[in-house]
Amino acid sequence: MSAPRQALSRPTNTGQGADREPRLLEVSGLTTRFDTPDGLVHAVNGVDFHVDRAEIVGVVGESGCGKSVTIRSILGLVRPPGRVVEGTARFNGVDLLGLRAAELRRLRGAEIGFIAQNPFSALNPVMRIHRQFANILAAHGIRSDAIARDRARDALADVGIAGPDRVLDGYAHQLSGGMAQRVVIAMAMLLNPAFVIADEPTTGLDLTVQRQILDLIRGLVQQHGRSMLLVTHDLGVVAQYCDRVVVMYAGKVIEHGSVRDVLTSPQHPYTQALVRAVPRPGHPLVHLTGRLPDLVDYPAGCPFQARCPHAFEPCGQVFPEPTTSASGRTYWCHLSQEREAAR
Amino acid sequence: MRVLGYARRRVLFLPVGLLSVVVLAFLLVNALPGNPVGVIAGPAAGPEELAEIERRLGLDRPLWERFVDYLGGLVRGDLGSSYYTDRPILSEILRFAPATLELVILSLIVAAVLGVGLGTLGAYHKGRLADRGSRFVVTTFQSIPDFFLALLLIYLCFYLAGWAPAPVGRLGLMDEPPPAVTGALLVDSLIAGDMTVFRSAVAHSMLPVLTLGIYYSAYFARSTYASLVPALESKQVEFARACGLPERTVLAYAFRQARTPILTYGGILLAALLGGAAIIETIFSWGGFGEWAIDSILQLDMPAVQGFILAAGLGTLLAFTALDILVAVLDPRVRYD
Repeated sequence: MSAPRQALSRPTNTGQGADREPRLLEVSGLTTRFDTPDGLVHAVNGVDFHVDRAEIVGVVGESGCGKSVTIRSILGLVRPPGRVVEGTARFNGVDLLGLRAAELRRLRGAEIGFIAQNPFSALNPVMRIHRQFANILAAHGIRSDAIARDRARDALADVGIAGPDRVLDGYAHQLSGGMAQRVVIAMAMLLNPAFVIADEPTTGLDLTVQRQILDLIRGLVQQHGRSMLLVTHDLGVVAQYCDRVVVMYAGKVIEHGSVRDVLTSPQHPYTQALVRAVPRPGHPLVHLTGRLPDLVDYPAGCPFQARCPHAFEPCGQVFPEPTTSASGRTYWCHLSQEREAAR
Repeated sequence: MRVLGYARRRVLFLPVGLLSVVVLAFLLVNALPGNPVGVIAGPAAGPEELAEIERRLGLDRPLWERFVDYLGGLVRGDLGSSYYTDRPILSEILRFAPATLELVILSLIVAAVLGVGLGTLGAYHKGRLADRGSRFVVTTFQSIPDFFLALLLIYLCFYLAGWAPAPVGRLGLMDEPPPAVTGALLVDSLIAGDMTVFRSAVAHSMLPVLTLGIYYSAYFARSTYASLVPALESKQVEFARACGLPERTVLAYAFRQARTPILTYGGILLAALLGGAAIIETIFSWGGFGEWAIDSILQLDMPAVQGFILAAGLGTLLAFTALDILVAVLDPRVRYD
């Protein structure tokens, strides 16, 4: 695994600066449930995290940990039977969850770009690419077809597509996977959003293309001083591309901090297990057994207790209080109290 | 180019399809139980009389000889003549088919508008009150048999309310039909510029069109719902929303995904109704194609039945071919190599 990327040398926006300028994104207490015939699914349970300006934040966790639902809740894309029941998501100080649907719609695409997972399921298969670009621009007030074409051409050039006109006049199925994902990225960046959410942007692509796409996204984010929330299940990607990382388990954040802190000295047993599960020369590969807890019959206390090698008495009763270190890394584990006491 | 090549191949296939319809029409009708000679002659006829009729109709000759004769006639545009009226079958078809086409096309338009609207309402508000409401209406429409619905509408709209004219056919008893150009009264009366007849024709088609429209809207609603729900839950629609597209555009995106199954259903219904509207035609004395076919079958009027199968088969072939070409035009991914 490569070394964590150095944090950019700029004053970081910590808690003290918050009253001068609001954070780019501050999510707190986010809770999303799905009312299914099998019962109430506790998909996201009081999630807190933030994204600062010009920062790339990774969200990691295994499938079903609530990563996707979290970003969809922020964007207002959770559909019935799902419902955001609690929490706030302040974007430049404005609570996205309190906005009316039409207001939130105008922010999507214009201020918050979304890079979808699989380009072939995201792009409209029966509509020419240029029409899809034109529709996005029209939705944000740019109705001239000629301007739309110029903007689309520029956006495609920015993502490294050489003959943009051929792509614009064609359909998604005529493109390779990498090309199609570049088109999706161009659509996400079309209106120059300050914040980009990427939902596992390289799943389903060839290994060689994955790196190119991630480099491209990072380039586009850094060049324009944008911020990004990068959802992934690949710690290698986090190590290489992110400044900070949020680790999720069963719909809760269980650890977050700088990539260096979290990946080199993980404190939560789940993060430790994730890091040990990454193949490295000279280290035995440790496989985490067991499964995610039942999200309908959500366990009391710490959701990781059933799989945790260190679980002890308080774990089954209450969810632990957060422990924050001087460098800003925070984790939620009862073992921290033990460690304090041992000191 | 892709579509043109495909369309040409589909059109070239038409004669092959038509030939198999001809063979089937001829063989099936001859395999029907019952002897037309006996029906024509009546119970009192003696054996000589029967043999005479059989000879006159050519039924004493072997099957293959009659088939060759029939084929030869077809090539010259002669579909034979009715055993009873002696009128050429082709002119009978041209007389009855336009009435049915008019009825079926209008009904399908009503059914499509009503059904797609109901299905969309339910699919868009899936799981909510509007969905349950739409489902209730659709189930009701589907569970009332069409002939009963026809009688109900006649009772309510003609007998009780008096909004609709009596179910006496395509025009009132006193109306003078316009000179036949297309055979479709609505079109012909407009061509003749006769607005009184046009209004009467519209009034008379209201109830049968409403009956078939309401009944078949349930099928449109179900296929719309079934294909629109997954389309609205697709990643494509989610990405469209994530790009900030307004709900109207998002729904249009979903429709582009869902339209092929709906169109296919419409094509199948069109083909089925060409002969399948017979009961409704009978109730409204419509003088249509299906009604003519049923009369012919009951009388064992073999040339007429063959002509009906041939015309309905041709209509079905044309409808399906047009449908396939339309689907290819609408979906750039369709490839047939």
